[in-house]
Amino acid sequence: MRADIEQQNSRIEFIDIARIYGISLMYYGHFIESYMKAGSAIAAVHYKFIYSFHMPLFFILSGYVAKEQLFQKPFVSYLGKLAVSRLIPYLFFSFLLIIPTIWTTDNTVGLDLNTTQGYVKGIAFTLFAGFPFFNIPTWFLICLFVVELIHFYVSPHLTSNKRVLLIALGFYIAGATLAWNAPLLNPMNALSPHGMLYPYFMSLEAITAYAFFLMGVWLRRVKILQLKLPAYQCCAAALAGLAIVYFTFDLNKGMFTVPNYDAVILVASSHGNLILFPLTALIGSMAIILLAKISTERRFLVGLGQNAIIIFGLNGIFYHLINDRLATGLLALLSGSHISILLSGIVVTFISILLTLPFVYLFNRYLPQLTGKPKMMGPILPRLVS
Amino acid sequence: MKIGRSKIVTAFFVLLAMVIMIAYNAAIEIVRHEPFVYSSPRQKLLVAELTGDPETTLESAGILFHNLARQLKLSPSYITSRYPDRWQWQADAGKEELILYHRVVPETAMDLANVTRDNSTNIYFKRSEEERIASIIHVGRYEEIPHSQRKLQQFILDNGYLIDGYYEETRIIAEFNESDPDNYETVLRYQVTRD
Repeated sequence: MRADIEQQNSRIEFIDIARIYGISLMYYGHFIESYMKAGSAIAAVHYKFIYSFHMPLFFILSGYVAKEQLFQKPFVSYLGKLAVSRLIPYLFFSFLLIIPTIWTTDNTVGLDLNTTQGYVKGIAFTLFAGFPFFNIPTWFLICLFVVELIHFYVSPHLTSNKRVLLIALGFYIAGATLAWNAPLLNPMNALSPHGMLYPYFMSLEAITAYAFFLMGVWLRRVKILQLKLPAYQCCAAALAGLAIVYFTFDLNKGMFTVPNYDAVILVASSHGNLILFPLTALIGSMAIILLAKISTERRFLVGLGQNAIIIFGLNGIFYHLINDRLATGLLALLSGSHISILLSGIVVTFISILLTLPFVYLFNRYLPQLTGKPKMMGPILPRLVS
Repeated sequence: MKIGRSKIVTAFFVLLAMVIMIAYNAAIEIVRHEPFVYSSPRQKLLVAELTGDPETTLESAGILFHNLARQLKLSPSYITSRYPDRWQWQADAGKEELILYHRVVPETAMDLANVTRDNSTNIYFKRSEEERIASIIHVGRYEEIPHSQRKLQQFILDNGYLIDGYYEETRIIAEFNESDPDNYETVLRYQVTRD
């Protein structure tokens, strides 16, 4: 029993650490994207490498900790719990980023915030289309919400490990097919000046994302990650995984739905090659999870991982308001070599995450219910679910 | 039969969301074919300079870009025809003129040295800067483009802008994906500055 509890705690810790590693990659990727937009081809290579696996990682981690036997619960109570843990943080972080648009309006993609119509469009799409114009990175929360709704209906059919893999394959093929053949469902339509308001809610990408989510369910069931491996073996396997990604990520070319971004972009359902995309996504994600397994002694990282939603949601501040200006300025000063791009990216990522920590404290102290902890009592709001 | 309060509230909000979506989309449909001004982002372009009759060079450009995309492993994209020497649509076929055909490419697209091509065609990468663009979607036959063009020019004048730069066209719905010319959609753009 004691061993079981210890194993449970250890499992949660490495998942938390993998989350913060994934978030660090997201911060790095979003900053590097600004270098890329400023014209750095080297940054575009870094971007493509990170994007080949970092978002699927989050879905795998969510699947790993997903509950089973969901069908025993009433749908309404499940939906309510999902809404408060996913949709409320989505709305909170989206509307939080409307505040800076009072001073600066030039960095919100696809919106002209010098006009009332720009705000109407941004708010309407945030609320009714599930497309977070004011805080683009939070699309993940909407997508995860839909993925977890799918899981409610699919989970009764996951009667064996083989079935989990087969259903994951089915969802992957369906998602990949629709990504190319159902452009009307793609939320990127919202970016067009005359984009129609439909309830996209990331449902197109949720089909592919659910395949990765099921890979997380499968990993938990087969208990591979619960094996106690020596640190050097985990490290060697992680490095081997990253090496495989390094040698394969750039083979995925020419099949993206966003022609000016030669990289996997889940928000746009732009996956590229049908085989290379899941290959790099799964191997890269496993490498990060293995690296997380050997870092469970780092209490600070566990703490950060437990506040993943806040750090994740606050990335929008950097993505929309800071990165582009900073990257343009830095690129003029730096040589633009691989090493300068890498080091400056790491430093900016580190400082950015550090800057979110006071907000992590404040939100946990005063508004935990709005930032992914609906069961907590706070000084301002009561708990949202019992 | 009793209906719970929460169901009524949910139904009310769903209905409200539907009404807002329908109203928003109806408003967008009205302005969809009206001119508008926007800022184009900085992006990397693959440019091919071709001289000749626009109808012939467009076909050549299509084949050229298809071959380049295969060799450079580029994802599909629209081709835009940029006319550096004129701001008006011309119907007189057979007239020789220089046209810059271009398409967006990723920053990773770099190596033109190994691309096999006809050396007489000037092909190069170019980075476009952030530009103010006045645009309109022309729906219908190509011969009717001057009408949409005049509408766009009037809009530019009325809103305190000046045409300053290039004129370009992108065929979104055209011969390759639509049989009825009345359904063709062509995006017309002028580079503009504030007057």
